[in-house]
Amino acid sequence: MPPPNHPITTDLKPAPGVAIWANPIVQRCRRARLRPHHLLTYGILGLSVITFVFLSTYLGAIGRFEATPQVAAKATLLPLLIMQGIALMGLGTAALASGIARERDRALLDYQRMTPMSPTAKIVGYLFGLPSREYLLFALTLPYLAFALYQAEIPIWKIAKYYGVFFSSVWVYHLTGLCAGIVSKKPWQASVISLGSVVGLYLVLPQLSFAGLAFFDFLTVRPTFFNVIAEELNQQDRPWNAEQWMTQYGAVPFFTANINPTVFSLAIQGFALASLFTVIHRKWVDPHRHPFSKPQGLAFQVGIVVVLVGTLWPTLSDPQQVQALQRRLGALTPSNVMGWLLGLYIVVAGLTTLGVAHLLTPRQPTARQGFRRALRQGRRDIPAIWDAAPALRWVAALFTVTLLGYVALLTVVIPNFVHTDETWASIPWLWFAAPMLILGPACFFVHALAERYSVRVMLLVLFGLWVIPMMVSVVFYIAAPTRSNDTPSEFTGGSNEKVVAPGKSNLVPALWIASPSPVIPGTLALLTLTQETGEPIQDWQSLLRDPLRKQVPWMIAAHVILYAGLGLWLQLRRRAWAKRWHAQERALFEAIPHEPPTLGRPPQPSNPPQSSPGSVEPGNESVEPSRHPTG
Amino acid sequence: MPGDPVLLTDDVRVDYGDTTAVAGLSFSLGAGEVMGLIGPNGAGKTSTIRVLATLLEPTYGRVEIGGHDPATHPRQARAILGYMPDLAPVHDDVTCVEFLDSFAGAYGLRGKHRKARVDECLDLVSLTAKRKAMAGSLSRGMTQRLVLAKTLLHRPAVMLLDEPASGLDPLARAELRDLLNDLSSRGVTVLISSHILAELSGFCTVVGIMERGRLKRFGRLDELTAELRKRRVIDLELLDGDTDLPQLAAWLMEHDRCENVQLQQPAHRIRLDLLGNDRDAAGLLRSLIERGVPVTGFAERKPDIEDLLRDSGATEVS
Repeated sequence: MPPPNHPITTDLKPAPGVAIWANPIVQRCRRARLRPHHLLTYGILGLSVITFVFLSTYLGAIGRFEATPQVAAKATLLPLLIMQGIALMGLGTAALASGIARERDRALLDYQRMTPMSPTAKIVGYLFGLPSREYLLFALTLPYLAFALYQAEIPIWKIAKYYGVFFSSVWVYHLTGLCAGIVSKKPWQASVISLGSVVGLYLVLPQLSFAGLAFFDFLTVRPTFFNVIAEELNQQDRPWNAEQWMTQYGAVPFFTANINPTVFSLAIQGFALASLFTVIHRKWVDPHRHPFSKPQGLAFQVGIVVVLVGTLWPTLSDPQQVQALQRRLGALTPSNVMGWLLGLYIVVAGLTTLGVAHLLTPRQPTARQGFRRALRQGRRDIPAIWDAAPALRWVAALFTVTLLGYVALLTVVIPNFVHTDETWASIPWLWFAAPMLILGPACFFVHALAERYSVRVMLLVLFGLWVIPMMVSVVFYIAAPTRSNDTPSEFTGGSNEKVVAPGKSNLVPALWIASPSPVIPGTLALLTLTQETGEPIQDWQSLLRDPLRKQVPWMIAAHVILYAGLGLWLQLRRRAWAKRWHAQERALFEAIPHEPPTLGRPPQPSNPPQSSPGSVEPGNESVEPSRHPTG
Repeated sequence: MPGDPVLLTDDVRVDYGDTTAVAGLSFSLGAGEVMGLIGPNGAGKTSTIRVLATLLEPTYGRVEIGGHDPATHPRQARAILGYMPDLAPVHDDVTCVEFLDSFAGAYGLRGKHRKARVDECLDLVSLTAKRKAMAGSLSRGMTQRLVLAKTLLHRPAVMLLDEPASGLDPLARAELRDLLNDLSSRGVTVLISSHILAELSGFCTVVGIMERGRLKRFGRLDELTAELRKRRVIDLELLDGDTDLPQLAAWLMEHDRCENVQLQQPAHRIRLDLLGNDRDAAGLLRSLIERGVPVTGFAERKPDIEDLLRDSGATEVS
């Protein structure tokens, strides 16, 4: 073996993040995924399919329908755009998720973590490197697309607008795949999660836009397509129901402003990109970090609430929009629409509040590690923004943000929907406050549970308290015999068909059984609110008439007491333990002098003062910390 | 210890949930030191190496690599670090030269210098002939060598090698030893975790023995082994078939200068602890010959890392 030339180098400058073409990760992925045999295989397959679709559409239009070249070119646009979407959004996202998960699974990511490139440069490298083949497939469509756009005489600014949003949307999905790959345990799980996310974001969540919550749709390219491209297509080539969608995706009402859909799409996708990038960056730097820091989690919640309120605000403040939504939903009264929209806000904002609260809450081992680290750094306690710091005040802040959003919505709802004699006392405050009264203690309880127990235990407890009672309740309810003299035993539920409901003899006890789940008192509160504020509708009112209606406040009160009590009990126990344990750790730390190490002498035998049995709970530490000087 | 420490840990602790993997770990190494980190399975060796490699944030404790704290200056620390993990993986779908070229770029090597360094490192690990082979098609030993080449690319000042010789054939092991000796002579600090103790004895200057997360013994190899020399271990080799070994062992056990007599039957050898000086050793040999014992070898065994490990009480070596 020849002697190595080894002048130690310390002045090398690693590759920058922005120069994608020079990024070593992009170069490696490109080499690996675009070898000549790959190019040949994917090139032939891709070109064949694209050529087939293009020619059959274009020549078919000219030959069979005697269309002009311009009309025929327009007919090819939609298939080409769909193929581009499948290649980059579907296949590209899966390639990213499985590729990064595979590298993480085989510890190859450690090599990359150890290089002196910045985390941003590494993320950018994977973002553009792993879907190389999919970018190739996309590139194969470009000559056909260029021909079609030229023939169809579509203005260049429209194309620029569309592709601006298209790529922004693609990167949202790609970062979702990267995120799934970094957090999931196996490569196949990452692929499933990422493809599930694509389907969910494209097909499921946009359905909420019909129900009044439009912003999910703007994570896709669809609004921009219908706003910019659809009108350029031939009438017969437009997607189903295109005219309605083109109207719907006009200017986006947000608070009191009307925003251009392209700008709104870019803003929403920018928010999603920033959130996903934050998570990936943090996990890249240290896989044990929380996905969000505490301020980042709060900022995320503020962003979600602003978008939610901003989207719901114009609908709730404009009677014409309420009527339109009422028709779309098949709702009976404007009050039903109000109840529905408030319900949407509570569900989405409530879920993000609970989710972010869970993400920000440190588990007990993390809290212990944080305290030890803080002590070593000469601090009395853990700084509030550390992952390991107690998160109660942050959870309170999250809930406050959600509450403020709700209050903001009420400032529009109360003047527009409440049919009262215009006195404050006549406003049904309890029912307006009820959803937040339910959400607040639930957040507090979930936080206290997460702080004390593992994810598995937490999920099990939540399943036991929130899901199982509903199952028991359903069994209890349907097991009762239908009694014809229980009136009414049928209700319309807003449709023309009569729906036969089982007898209601045991409805109240069944609902009491299910009441530990926030869904039941929450739904009942909203139904009561709808009923209190709107004109009485016989069938809906009958569902909530006495004796059930009298029970709802008690259910809410019981819910509040249950979760506030459980949360308080868990908090007090944790605090008592933390106080005891902190005092012990502090005493242990202060009792022992500390000197820096030197080479040449073995460490002194360590006999640290032992913690008293049970001082670490529920920890089962194999080794107690040593504070003895070494060397 | 000449100069400032290149690698320093001060009271490092690593926790995984409720389990403490490393506690109170403090040591420092100067330029050109080669440290062998040994200990049983679960002793905390890999956690220690991952902390030093900036891949794992310790619960607390100070780490310095070339004077840089990885917590505050990770880039500077990483620029002078080379790390080779146990069962080192490679990207299957690139050639050896592409694999190295990618990392050379990541470390900031450019242009002709990059290509030359990749070739040089392939040559160092004797993989030039395999430069165009797919990394996934290499044997285990060749994969190890390729990763070693990657580790050397940016000429690190500190090398962390976790079981570097596993999978290497004897010739490659000898080459690795020569290479590490050479790097050490050029001022590179090397930390090796290995279960092949004989291979560590050849070139380690410093030894750390870990057990249950603690650095049980740490110091220069010569100083630590000198402590063991107060008790002399004698290997007695006898002519095959001409000796009644059990009878001889019984006689030795009754000898006032012999202790801990171990019969190594198939090899026709007896190992014993001799209490005394050279004169006592000569007296014992004379007594054996006078008794007509066919002695073919009488040698004092120098204590090595294995003896250190045994002396420290560790039972299982990983």
